Amino acid sequence: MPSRRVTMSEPTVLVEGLSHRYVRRDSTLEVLRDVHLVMEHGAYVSLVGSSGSGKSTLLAVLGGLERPQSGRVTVAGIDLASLSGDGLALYRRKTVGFVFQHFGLLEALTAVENVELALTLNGVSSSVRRHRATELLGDVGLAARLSHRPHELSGGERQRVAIARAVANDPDLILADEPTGNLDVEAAETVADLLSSLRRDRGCTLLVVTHNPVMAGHADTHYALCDGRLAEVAMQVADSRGRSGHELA
Amino acid sequence: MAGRELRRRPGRAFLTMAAVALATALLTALVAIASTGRTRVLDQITHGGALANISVAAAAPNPSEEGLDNPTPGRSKSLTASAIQAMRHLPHVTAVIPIVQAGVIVVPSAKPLAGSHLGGRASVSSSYGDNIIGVNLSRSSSLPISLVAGKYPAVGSTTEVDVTSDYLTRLGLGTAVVHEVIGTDVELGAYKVLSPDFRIGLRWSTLRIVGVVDQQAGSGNFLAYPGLVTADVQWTAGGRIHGDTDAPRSPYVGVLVEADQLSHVDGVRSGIAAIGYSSSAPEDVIVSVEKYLHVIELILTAIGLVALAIAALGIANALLAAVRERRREIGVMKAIGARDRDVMRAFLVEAGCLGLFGGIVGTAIGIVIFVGIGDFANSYLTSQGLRGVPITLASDIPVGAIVGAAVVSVLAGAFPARRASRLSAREAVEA
Repeated sequence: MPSRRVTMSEPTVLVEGLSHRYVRRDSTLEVLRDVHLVMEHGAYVSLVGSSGSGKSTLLAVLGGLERPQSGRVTVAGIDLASLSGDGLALYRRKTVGFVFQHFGLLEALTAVENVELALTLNGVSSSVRRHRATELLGDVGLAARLSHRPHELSGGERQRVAIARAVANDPDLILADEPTGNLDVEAAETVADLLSSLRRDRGCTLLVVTHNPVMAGHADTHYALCDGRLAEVAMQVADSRGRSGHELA
Repeated sequence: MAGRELRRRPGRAFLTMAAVALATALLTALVAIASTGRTRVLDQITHGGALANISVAAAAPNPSEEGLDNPTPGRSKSLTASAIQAMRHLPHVTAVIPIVQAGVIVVPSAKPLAGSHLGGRASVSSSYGDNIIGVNLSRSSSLPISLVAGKYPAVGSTTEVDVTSDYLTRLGLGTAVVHEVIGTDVELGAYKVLSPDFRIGLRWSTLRIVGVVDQQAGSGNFLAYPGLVTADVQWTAGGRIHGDTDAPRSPYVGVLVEADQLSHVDGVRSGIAAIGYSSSAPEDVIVSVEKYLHVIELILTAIGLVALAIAALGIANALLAAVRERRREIGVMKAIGARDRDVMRAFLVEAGCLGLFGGIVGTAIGIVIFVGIGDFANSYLTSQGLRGVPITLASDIPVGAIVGAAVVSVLAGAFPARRASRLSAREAVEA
């Protein structure tokens, strides 16, 4: 069950022979083909790929939003194929944290309440969760923005709230889908630094889909998805203003 | 969180809640009016007494009219204390209230009475014969007696009396000024024949009129506690006519027997007949009228429920729109660990809040409408010299309306909530 934590001897993420397809009325679209991926505890992996290459599907499978159709996917020692609907919900609650390009904050809630929501769903008592949410927002530099609604925050601040929420339940794996995609350069750098610090300070394992070279520059392994196939790449260029390139390793 | 979501779209929330409120107001007002109307109609039939009341006459039963609501009594028969005791022991009998009655000479008040055709003053010359009824008025809720104005005499009082509207008529007062007579005095003289040449002896009592009643407990226009009347009865019984006659003298003119429920009235009446007395009860009329009233109540309630159902459709529509708009948020909630039922619960709570607040506001409006209509009806009835309608609301009506509105709203929210809970988390996140 999702409560199982990975030990240092086994990888946090182990994907073996994962294939995924979408069946339409008159066609079948194979988005992932025999994907293999190993991420050790505390690894920071960046992932690139053109639109429709299967990046989001891989994140959705690893994040328990979709069930693996074939192959084996294990995160923190949990075989995702074996989980029921509630089991997957519990897995998403405790084992993974999501950071979305669109931030994914609930507009009706304040910053601190958005962070608290993840703790509430995880059954944390009300007295503890307010304290913890406040602490987390302080860690991402938003101690003065606790009671602000998302529309009262800048894009970078919203993403920092989302990051605080993602780590609220101390997950094994953080999945970020273009976390700087909607941010200006400065905010993107702040978010990139913040995500990087999660590995350093909290020992999180990160898989970040990004086309931002600064963000990717923080990763120690780079992967690219092309036509559903995953391959490790070496980063060629990465300057602080967005010009970058990759080559196959 | 539901409250926050509602506040995010105040216009939509307000309109949806207003629809629920109006429907609940209509439902509350209709049910309250139907309930009050029912009470009033049955009250009119029972003259304010209990539905399961039985009037026992000081007469033997008439075998040829057995089973009728209002049979012609047989021969006169004294109602004795032992007979009353036997009635008390009948199954399903909850109360037995004896009624005494005395003939009196009435001398109305000498106090000026506005509106009297007697030139504003009654006098001894306006004396007349009448009866005073004695009954335990502390059991007034069981008696066919309704208070029109003022109050009942104090418990056990021998100085206070209530009068009927016929007394006012006798004084030339209209029924619209019933309060004029309250607080005035009346002299009642119990009489007895003192000698064979019909010389009359009178025993006078000056009584303070404290209320005006509508009563069917006995034949007379004065109502008091039995102690006062029994003294008059004993005075009269001491006269020569009564002393010389062989006719059975009954200490009571009748007895009021109350059954525990309407369906037991027939059985209790059979028991009374077996003891040897004639009885009457409007049970058949009440049963028939109750059926008609029940149909009217159902129709009015149905109209209110149809309105509530329409409001519920509004809730369903508003929540379906919310599900479409909050697709991504639903996906995010699932991504951070919400189960399908957590999402469903969030929408059901939102629907319940709309229903609950709409129900509370609507019930308050409904009560205001009900009281307004009641006041209007009462002012009309009293202007016509009729007894007003009691504007009382049974507590189960507002409670039922609020709970009903909340439950109907939750049911209406079930479909959108289910749709939200079944959204694919991934599709919702990427929406």
